[in-house]
Amino acid sequence: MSSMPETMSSAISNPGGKTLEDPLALIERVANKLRSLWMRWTYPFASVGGKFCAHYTLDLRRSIAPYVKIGDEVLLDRDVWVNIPIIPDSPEPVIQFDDGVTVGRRCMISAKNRIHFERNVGFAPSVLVMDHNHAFEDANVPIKYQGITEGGTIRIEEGCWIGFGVAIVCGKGELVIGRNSVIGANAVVSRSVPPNSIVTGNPARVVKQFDPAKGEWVMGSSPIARATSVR
Amino acid sequence: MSTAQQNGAVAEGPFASISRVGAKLNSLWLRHTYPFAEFGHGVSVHPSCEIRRSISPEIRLGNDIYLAPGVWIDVPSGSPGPEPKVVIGSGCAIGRRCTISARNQIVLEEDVLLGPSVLIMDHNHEFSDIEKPIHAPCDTSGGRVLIERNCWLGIGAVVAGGAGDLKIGRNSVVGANAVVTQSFPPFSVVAGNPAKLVKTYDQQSGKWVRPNEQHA
Repeated sequence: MSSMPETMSSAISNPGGKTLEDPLALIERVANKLRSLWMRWTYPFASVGGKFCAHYTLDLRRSIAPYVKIGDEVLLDRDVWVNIPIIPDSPEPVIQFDDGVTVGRRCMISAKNRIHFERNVGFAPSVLVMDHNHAFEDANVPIKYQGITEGGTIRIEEGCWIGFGVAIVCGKGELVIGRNSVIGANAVVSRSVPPNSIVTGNPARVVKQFDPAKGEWVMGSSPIARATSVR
Repeated sequence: MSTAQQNGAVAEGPFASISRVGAKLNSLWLRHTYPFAEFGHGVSVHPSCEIRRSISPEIRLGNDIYLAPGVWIDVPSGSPGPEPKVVIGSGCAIGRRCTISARNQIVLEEDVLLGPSVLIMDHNHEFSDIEKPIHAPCDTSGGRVLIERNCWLGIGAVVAGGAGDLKIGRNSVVGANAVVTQSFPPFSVVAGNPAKLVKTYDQQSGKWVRPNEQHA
């Protein structure tokens, strides 16, 4: 029973004992490479940097490409959806990914005004980032016929890490997530977050902050954090 | 390499139509070969949606319904009663990767919007018996879930019905990642885990107000 798999697995692993990747996995890698090259050559992006890596299932319509700016080494993983609901009048970029941004599986980014991801922002899977929303002011009209709200702008600063299932929604004004902040899994963020903070919960609250004097992360019950609490 | 005109509309890529044609063909296939209780006109079901043929007699779909990629509609085996388990009203739009799992009955009235990754269940795993693995094929008997017309459920919202009826009144809004386990009246905005009423529609002023500010 066990001899058969052993011989088979030893035949396709190298002598060092490291297991080689399934050759069938190569098909997907090639598909991703082709999709990335196809997008780079045929989509009219505002700009696109080197080593742009798009998964073949990426959903980014060609008609919104002129308003999307992509830096170097940006990764858009499986089933990511990048959307601009209304094509803007001005040629300004609406969605901007700076160098080294990695967007995890199933993330959804929808921008009406402007969403800017600064360098090395990292996303876990299933994150939602929207700078507008459905309007529902009129209680007598179905929400699907009420269009979308005015919305605001979102800027996620350098080095942030956005956890699994987080929703970042900006109703109005500017929402800024300060540099090197961490957003915990399934948090719902609708206000700005100060730099070097850990934010969790629904609605999101600051639970820890980096204290430069002590050089360590301190609990959110400290006065600094209370003063800058998200809500 | 920017070939497109900056002001004019940019043409869609040729591969974009593959998905659209796929949804069209899949909808036609379902309409003609699946024994749905009802399958209205203008229903669009993406090929990546999962609706088993064996449960389709227990599903009613109204007119002009859109099911985005990855939607899963499930009726666990051994569900009681002859009435349809999943009823989706006309004009509903179900977002990507939504899961609807009905043992008794889940009803979505007209024009309900579900964002992506919404979960609606009217039953759950049974875990009261500590001797059995929770994964044993035994669900709670559960209740019923009714989502009235014009509601909108944000991304990642969970509606988990326990025993009895769970009703979300008309024109209500459920915030992102909210977990709803109790009924809410019409014209509510609910958010958080567990979900709390954060706003309600004041008919006198015609505005959405916090619950304690409402005119008596």
